Amino acid sequence: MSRYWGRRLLQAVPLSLGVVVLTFVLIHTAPGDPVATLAGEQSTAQYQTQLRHDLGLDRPLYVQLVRYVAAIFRGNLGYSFTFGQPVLALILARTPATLLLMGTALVISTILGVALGVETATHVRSPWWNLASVAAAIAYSLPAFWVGEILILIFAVQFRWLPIVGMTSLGGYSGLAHWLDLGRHLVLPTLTLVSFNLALFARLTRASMLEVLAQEYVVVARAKGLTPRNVIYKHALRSALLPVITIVGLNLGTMLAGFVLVETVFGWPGLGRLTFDAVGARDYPVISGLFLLTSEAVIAANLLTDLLYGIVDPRVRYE
Amino acid sequence: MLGGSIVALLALAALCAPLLTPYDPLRRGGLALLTPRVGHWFGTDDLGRDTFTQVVYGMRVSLMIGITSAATAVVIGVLVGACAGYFGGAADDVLMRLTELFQVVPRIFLLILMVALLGQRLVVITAAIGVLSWPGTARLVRAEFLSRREAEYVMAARAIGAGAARIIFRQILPNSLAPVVVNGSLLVGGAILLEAGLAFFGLGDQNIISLGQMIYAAFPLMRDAWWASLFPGLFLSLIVVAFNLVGDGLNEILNPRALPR
Repeated sequence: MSRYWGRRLLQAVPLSLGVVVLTFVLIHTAPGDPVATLAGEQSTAQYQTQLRHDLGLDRPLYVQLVRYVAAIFRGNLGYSFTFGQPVLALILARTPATLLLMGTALVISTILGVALGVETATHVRSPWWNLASVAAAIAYSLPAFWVGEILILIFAVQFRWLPIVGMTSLGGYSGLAHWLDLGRHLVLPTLTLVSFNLALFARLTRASMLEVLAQEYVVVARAKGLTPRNVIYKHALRSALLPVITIVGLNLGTMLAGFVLVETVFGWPGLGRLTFDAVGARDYPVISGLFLLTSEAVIAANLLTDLLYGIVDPRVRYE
Repeated sequence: MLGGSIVALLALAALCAPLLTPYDPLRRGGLALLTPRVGHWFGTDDLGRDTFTQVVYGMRVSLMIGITSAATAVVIGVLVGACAGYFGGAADDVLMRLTELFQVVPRIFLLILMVALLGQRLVVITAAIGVLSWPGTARLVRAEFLSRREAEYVMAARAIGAGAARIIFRQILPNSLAPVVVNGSLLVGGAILLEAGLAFFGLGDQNIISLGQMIYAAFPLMRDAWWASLFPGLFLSLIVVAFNLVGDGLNEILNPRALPR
């Protein structure tokens, strides 16, 4: 068991380093000379040379790469010109908001999506099946930010039931009222995110369940006289969920795109909004910092799912 | 099947764009912010441009971007997957690590970085999307190759002296194309959505109208001109849904295991 974990950890390391190197390469393909920009138009060539030496930009590229990696390990991701804060602090400050939105949306879409997937996998002959398939395909294809806009138009502008943007109202409530207000603001963005992810989970679960239900041990379980509910939920679902988890882990990068866009549409003060603002201001330190951190987060999440997979499915450990 | 007909219809409309509308999509100066009416079926935007025209022309661009980047991704993916699956060993390891790297990285950020740094031109956007979408195809192709590598017809081909390239392209690849095609259809939808997402960040190509850009431009107008965001989004979704349905339909035909017994 620990050998499997050790191997997976070892595999994750070059991946993480690869991301760092990739970020470094991308930063250095940026057009323009940062030294010239920093030093200003009136500077002399001598000053520029001095500045270049001070910043370490005259060293060979591999030396710069090493220094970059070292800086990252010390937590120095650069400084944001637009926001006036160190990048890491900026990102960390916005993370809780994103986690709140993401967590809520993921929990709801997982539970509902898996349930829907199981239902469509088991009630195959019913007329609902085609309808559900098409509905899922549609929900999966709609651009998340557009759905968000439409929802805002309908619920917030037209009917004025729910607030339009932001995480909290300006009133500054405290105590219970604060949480209620937060909840009201949470509804529309969560709804938007859930619609997409729900379809994804439902499709994946359905495909996986169909394969599992065709297996022999399910037939045996039914023949033993177990109730259908028992067979489905206690036996089939467990095996069916594993590939779903893996695929979700691999698709986390894509799902992040949805989160980023939805946050922007709803003015949710999280990482997505930060991305939007940073891109608009061409604030490269922030953008690359975000890229680096989110990539590492996805790698970590994948590692976690792989490790969990190893616990749940013993066959994997001995590959 | 439904998807196929939708795609055909939309493609037809996109190709015949100049015939469908008398307006020049970029021409400004018409009456601004008109609600949908006869003559301007989808209304006009804040600069007086007819929305219907923009949608029709925009569909062209979106379709083109989607298909081109998906094609690029498929080509790269097939090459990588075939080499990894056929040669195995060290090549497989290296290529698979590379595939993992590109698969795990959140595409949207990398895409933003690449387009922001390399320029907001159509070519860059299409190439960047293509370059970031190949991992799925590569994995599929690799799996297919791994399972077919030891087949008898491959051994026979080797016995008569066929080189590796010939075996890959003439023998194994034609048999492996089914899931690639399905995946390709889904890739088109994904590519179109990615481009729309980029445009929403303001990183689209400024010289061309695409549906994503229209949604981006309509965002601040949401309160006053609901039609400006509704219609481009509607048609964007329609295109993506169509391609996804086509992919699903193809999957049902080519992969009978996916259907319930």
